[in-house]
Amino acid sequence: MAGGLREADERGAILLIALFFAVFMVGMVYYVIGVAEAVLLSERMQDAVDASALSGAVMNARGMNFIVLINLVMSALLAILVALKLVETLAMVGIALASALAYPTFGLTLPLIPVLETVRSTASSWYHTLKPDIEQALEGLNTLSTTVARMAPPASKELAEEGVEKYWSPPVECATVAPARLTEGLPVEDDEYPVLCEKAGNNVGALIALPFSVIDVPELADAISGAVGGAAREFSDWFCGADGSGGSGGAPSIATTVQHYYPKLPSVTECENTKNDRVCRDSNAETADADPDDTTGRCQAGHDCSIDGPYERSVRAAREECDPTKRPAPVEYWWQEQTGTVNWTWNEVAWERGDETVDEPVQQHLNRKDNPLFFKPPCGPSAVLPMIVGYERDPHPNGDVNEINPVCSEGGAAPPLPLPGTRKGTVVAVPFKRVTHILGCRIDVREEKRGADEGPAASGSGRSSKRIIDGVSLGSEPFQVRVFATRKPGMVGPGRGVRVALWGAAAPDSGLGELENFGRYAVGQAEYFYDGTEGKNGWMWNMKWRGRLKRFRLPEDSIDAATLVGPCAVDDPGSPAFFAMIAGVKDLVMH
Amino acid sequence: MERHWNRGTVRPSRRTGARGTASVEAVVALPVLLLLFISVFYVRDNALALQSAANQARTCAWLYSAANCPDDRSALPAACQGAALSVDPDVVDPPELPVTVEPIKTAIDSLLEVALEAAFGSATTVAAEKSFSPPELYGGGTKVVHRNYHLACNIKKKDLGDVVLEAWTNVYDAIF
Repeated sequence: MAGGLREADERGAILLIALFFAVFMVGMVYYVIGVAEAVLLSERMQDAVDASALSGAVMNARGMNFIVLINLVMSALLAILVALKLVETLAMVGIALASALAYPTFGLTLPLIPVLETVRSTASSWYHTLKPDIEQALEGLNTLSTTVARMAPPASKELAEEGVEKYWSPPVECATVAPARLTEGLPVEDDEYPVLCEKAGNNVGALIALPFSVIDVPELADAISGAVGGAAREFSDWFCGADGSGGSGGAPSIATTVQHYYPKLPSVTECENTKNDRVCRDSNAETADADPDDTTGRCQAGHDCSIDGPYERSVRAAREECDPTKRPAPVEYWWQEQTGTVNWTWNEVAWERGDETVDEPVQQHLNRKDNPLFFKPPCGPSAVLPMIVGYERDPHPNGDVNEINPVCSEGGAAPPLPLPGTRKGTVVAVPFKRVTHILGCRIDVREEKRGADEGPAASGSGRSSKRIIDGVSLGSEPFQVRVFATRKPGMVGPGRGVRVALWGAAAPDSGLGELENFGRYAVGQAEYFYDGTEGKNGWMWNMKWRGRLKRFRLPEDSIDAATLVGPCAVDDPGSPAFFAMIAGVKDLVMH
Repeated sequence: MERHWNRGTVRPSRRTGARGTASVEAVVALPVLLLLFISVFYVRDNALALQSAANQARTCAWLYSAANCPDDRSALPAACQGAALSVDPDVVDPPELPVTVEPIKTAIDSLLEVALEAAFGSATTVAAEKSFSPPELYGGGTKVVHRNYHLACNIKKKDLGDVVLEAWTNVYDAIF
């Protein structure tokens, strides 16, 4: 009887536990769904940017191959003229030989002359008949290759972005394909006309040497081909005629005097090379910071005047770049000058140096054109006849920004020995003048500039083939294609499933902050490259350009976020901030 | 009438009416829990199949593209030659030409195709599928999931001789 009173009421115990467990299991199911969705969507995003990056790179590679094809067609067309001219030349040589050998052979070679003359005149006639049409075709092909070079990057961007929208959306909401040199075009320019003539000569030589190739004597075939090509290049005016621009190849050049102002901070040089808006903005800010006071030449108040600041770096660079012994020598100077007096006290034995009184520094300026006969640099070795002899290169040898080592100075030395009877304690103030800093200079340089060299085509009416521009190598920035994509907002973070599992509560802060956005965006990169063993000279004469995927890296020269993010920023205002963040840690971020 | 242990009053036991309640509740709750538990495995199998299909589509697409999307797929791995894959290269169509003589038109089309292929190339869409068996609770049988991967075909290296030969072959085939 007492046992019944100890029995607990067990009704509903299992159901309650099961209810809680069921809720947990529902959450678990949705969590698994959410995680799976997040993983699959993330992979899909990456597949999208990888595929579109390769697509962009392949399109650009096709553009390069198309230009190569045009080059080959141009050389084939010009080979017709070279062949005719070669026949004419050989006939002329034959006539000359026949004439020369007529006497020793008692006239036996004379009957050859009319035959050779017929061959020569026929070849010449055909040459002059075909030349205008072939030249017109070359001009058209040159224009076509210029157009292809300009259009390939924007076309590749358009087609790749269209592909993303067609095949990868969802989950991709917005994608920007950013080939390098989007506005400049493919990295090609007009080559010299003799190069095309040489290639045409090689074609003719290869045809002549064909029998040697068949009988397996390739070295002789190469030698003949090379000889004809070399002759065609050397005498390109004879074999191929002048190019459309009137010169022997390329656009005409003009000599002009260019004024260069120094010092040039590294950021200024970078701006001139890259023409990147952000780089140039930073450079302008740094240049303004380095600008000295107009009156005193000092570092301006409120600017960075530390020893590593822009002003000190500028004056340090100016001492090097404005050296009057350079050639060409500077023709205009700005410098900071300081005058004062040094007190010397006579102690009956020698003069003792005392305090010095220094006046406020003053900025000075001198231009050669103001006084061409008597222009002098402020400081320098005696050979350059400066105002003051001497030239110290280090403004702060002790590393203290307040201790200035003048560029040069004069005066302030001890006065000559006084007359006998001069009283002890006599003070003499000796004036001095110092050039404390070289602030800047101008050097005029005579430079050859090619006319009409905007974009990939150096000459609008030329007949030249295309070559790779100078200063690029495989794998460098001009060959890169980058893609940036954003995912639809509803798919952000842990996914719909996990949000359900949270029962409407806000997702807990993961502690990753801005790094969470890595899951919302995807980046990819590919490049087009020359897949052959030929040297740089052969890159535009073989159709071996291909595309390949590459590990994502931000470019060495800073890229404006808007260039890569592009229109995606309109739909997703957070993406420029994300890009600015990874730009700030670009050396650490690897894809 | 209630009886405390030291008062001698006994209340009739209520246990008789509640016997087996826990068992009934367990019988009710267990199927629900079982359903949820099995669902987790179903979701897992589904996700694994999708990921496997995506991996296969991706791998085969990249291999096919790297080999320049050849007509002959025998060089591809065996997994990429199965019946579950379909590869459809698409090429930009040549423009309609106002030439009425068929052999000439065909020959010009063939030449243009070489030029257009050099300029625009082709792309491929690889479709992969994977199957798995859902639990009997969800109908059993076999469920098939699909994944596509679209990729541009990489470029086959050519020189002038290859281009001339290809164009000549196309023209010859078109005419004869």
